[in-house]
Amino acid sequence: MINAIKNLGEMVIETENKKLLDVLIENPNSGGSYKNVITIDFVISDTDIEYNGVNIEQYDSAKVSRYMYTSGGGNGPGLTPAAKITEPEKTFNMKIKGWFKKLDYKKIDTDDSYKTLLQRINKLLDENSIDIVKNIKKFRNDFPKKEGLILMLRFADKNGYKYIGDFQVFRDLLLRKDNEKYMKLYSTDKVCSICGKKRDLVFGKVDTYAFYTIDKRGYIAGGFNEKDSWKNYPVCPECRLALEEGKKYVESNLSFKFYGLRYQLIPDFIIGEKSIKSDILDIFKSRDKLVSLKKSTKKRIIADEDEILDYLKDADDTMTLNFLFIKRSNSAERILLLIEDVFPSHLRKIFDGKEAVDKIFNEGFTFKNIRNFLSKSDINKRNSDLDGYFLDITDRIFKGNAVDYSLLVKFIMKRVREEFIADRYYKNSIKDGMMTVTFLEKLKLINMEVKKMEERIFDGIFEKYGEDFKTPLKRGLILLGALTELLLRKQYTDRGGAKPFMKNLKSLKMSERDIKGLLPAVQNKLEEYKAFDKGKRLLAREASNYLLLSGDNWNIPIDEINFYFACGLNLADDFTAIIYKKEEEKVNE
Amino acid sequence: MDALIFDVFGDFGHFRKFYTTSSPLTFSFPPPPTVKGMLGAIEGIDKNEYLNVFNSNYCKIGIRIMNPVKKLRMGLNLINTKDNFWTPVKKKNHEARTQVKTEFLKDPAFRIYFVHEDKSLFDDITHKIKKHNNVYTLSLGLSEMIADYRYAGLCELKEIHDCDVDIQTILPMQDITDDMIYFESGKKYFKENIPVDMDDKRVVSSYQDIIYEIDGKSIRAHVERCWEVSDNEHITLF
Repeated sequence: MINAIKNLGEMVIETENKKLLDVLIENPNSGGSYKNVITIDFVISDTDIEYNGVNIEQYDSAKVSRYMYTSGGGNGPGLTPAAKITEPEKTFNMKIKGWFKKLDYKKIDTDDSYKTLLQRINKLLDENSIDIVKNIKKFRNDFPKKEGLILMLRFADKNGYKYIGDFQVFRDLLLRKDNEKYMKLYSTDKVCSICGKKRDLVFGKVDTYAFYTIDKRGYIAGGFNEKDSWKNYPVCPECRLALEEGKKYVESNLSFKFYGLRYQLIPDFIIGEKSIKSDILDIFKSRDKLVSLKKSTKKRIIADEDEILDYLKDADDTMTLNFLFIKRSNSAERILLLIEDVFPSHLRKIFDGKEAVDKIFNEGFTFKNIRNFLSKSDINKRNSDLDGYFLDITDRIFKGNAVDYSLLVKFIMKRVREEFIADRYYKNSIKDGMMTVTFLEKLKLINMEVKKMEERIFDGIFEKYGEDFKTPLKRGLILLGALTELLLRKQYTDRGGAKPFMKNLKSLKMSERDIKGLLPAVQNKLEEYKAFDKGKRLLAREASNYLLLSGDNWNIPIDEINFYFACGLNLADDFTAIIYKKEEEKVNE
Repeated sequence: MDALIFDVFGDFGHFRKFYTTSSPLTFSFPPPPTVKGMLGAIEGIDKNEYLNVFNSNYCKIGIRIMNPVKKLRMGLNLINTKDNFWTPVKKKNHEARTQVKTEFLKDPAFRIYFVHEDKSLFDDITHKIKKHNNVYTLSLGLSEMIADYRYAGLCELKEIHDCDVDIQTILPMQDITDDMIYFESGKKYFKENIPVDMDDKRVVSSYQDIIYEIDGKSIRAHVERCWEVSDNEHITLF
């Protein structure tokens, strides 16, 4: 996967004809909330440089390389004297003045005039710091808090304004400072683990992605010695920059939201770019196309924002996709899940499964249907705590690994019961469960028990759902569920909205014994309401037939018994369409 | 050239990808330096020595995936060595343990082809494998993942050049002429960058891109060089 990121980075550098420095420079307004720049102004003449107050100008994307902003640095100064303002005084002292203070002027092997320039700016900043902070505060107060401000230096000469990026000395220092970070651990004349070539210099601690850290000795293979840790993962400066660029590209262009979880989509090309169809490769090479695809509303399967998977499913299997789920807390990145090497052919299967489910339920299936019961263990909880289970099932679907059916039904029933007990509209939850089970069954990720049965009147309905309902027990439970639903509806109309029979359903925790006792109870109640008509008798007869065929000791979990019963509650309309049609036909005859 | 063929297998395996530490991922097969470690364990060669004994100048290794690659993740409770110390009980800001989600191979099985110029060493290893008489315990990457092995035979390898063949082993991209891989339907191709040669100071001197089929099926390609084990079995060696 790391090579895939590096290859992407190289592709971007080549396509956009980028220079080394461009890789390091960031756009401070990438999120769109930093629209103004506070400038600490200086006037440069042939002989001297003078402080010229603090001003404000509008952010201009064409000046990104001149602003030369980098986000690195944490609490200390960054790689250049340019920063986003948090607290005016702190930002000025730590990020701007701090940058000059940390300069080792002796080590600057550049023109003497540049050295003098840097020293003079440093002095001017010191002398005027009270005025500068006062003015920054004034500007800060003019804008609402949510609107970000950038702080940097600006120099006026006879040709107009210059920024730090216009001076060679700041450009050189940026490169040097960037390398310094990695020069703490390095080796010379060794093979780079990414490009496989022998290089003059390899860094030993390239932590582009946080899944490589050596903050614990136990992570260092071959002796637990940090000094030798470069042997584990040596990376040359070129590959480091390509990795950096690849990561940046993925973060800004191939990051998607997945029901509250962010993931990055990283394509990998098995035998290089040339093996990929040009229209597929164009997606990654042309940002415009990528943006338009992200905005398009084609078929969706996983994301709750627009996605490009529907397009990528048509690629050949010479390309694979990696899904990297990362959670950020402060500067740390925690990997929640990495789904590696998903083939376009498997994506096609997933989309085929989705289409089949869409057709059966007449509704678009997405991972949202799964997320609905794999989000919170308690509906009243503020944050989702079932992310792990949700990601696990996502992983299994994308890799084509079997899913634990009992566990799945347990979660479905948990949600259904919650809704059922609170007397909310529980049928959507049942539907989510049914759609998910059917989807997984179509992808052959759950094994359904199938038994041969004689032809019966409701076969058409059951067949629609594929292998899922092909045992007498499941069919019996569904039919009993449907019959119960008809009774509940009758009660609802006759008793002005009350459904007292619901208490007999034991909060959908019925055992085999309870179910066997339920059938006569439902029949009896229907008789009492004088509603046990021919249609319902037919339903009851079929339910009894299948339940009798199931015999004793069903040996399935209570969750599953109740899931199929709940499916019946949901499918009642499908059955009434048949039973009452039959009756009408008889009347007509 | 004579080759020893034997199978290595176990319940679990973990061959850590070098660019991961805090969320370790596994290669789908043991890279050549790992296989050399296994041979060193069988023969009883010191860990500081085996990389010299099995140096690529006189030793060749072929690796074939025998079981479909299955990967799963589990949490391992490791001792917390952050800030270079370990404490058996929790201290302020320092837990005694740290849980690391680790990726494992399930039911891994590999066929190893082994060639060595030193006839006596080769014969001794062959004898030890035949008799199941290893010196140190063999593992599949981590000491907790004990491996078993089985003698599969001896064969004569015939070197052939510049041909279209079905390669049974994992296949270095550099052995393929002009990337001429014949992608066949029903096969899933994966690429991995693995360490191939390591010196006795444990510095990797060569990394290579490897292509393999996830279910262990053969890959049809035009290769510059390979070895024929039998009419329908061709392999590449590192």
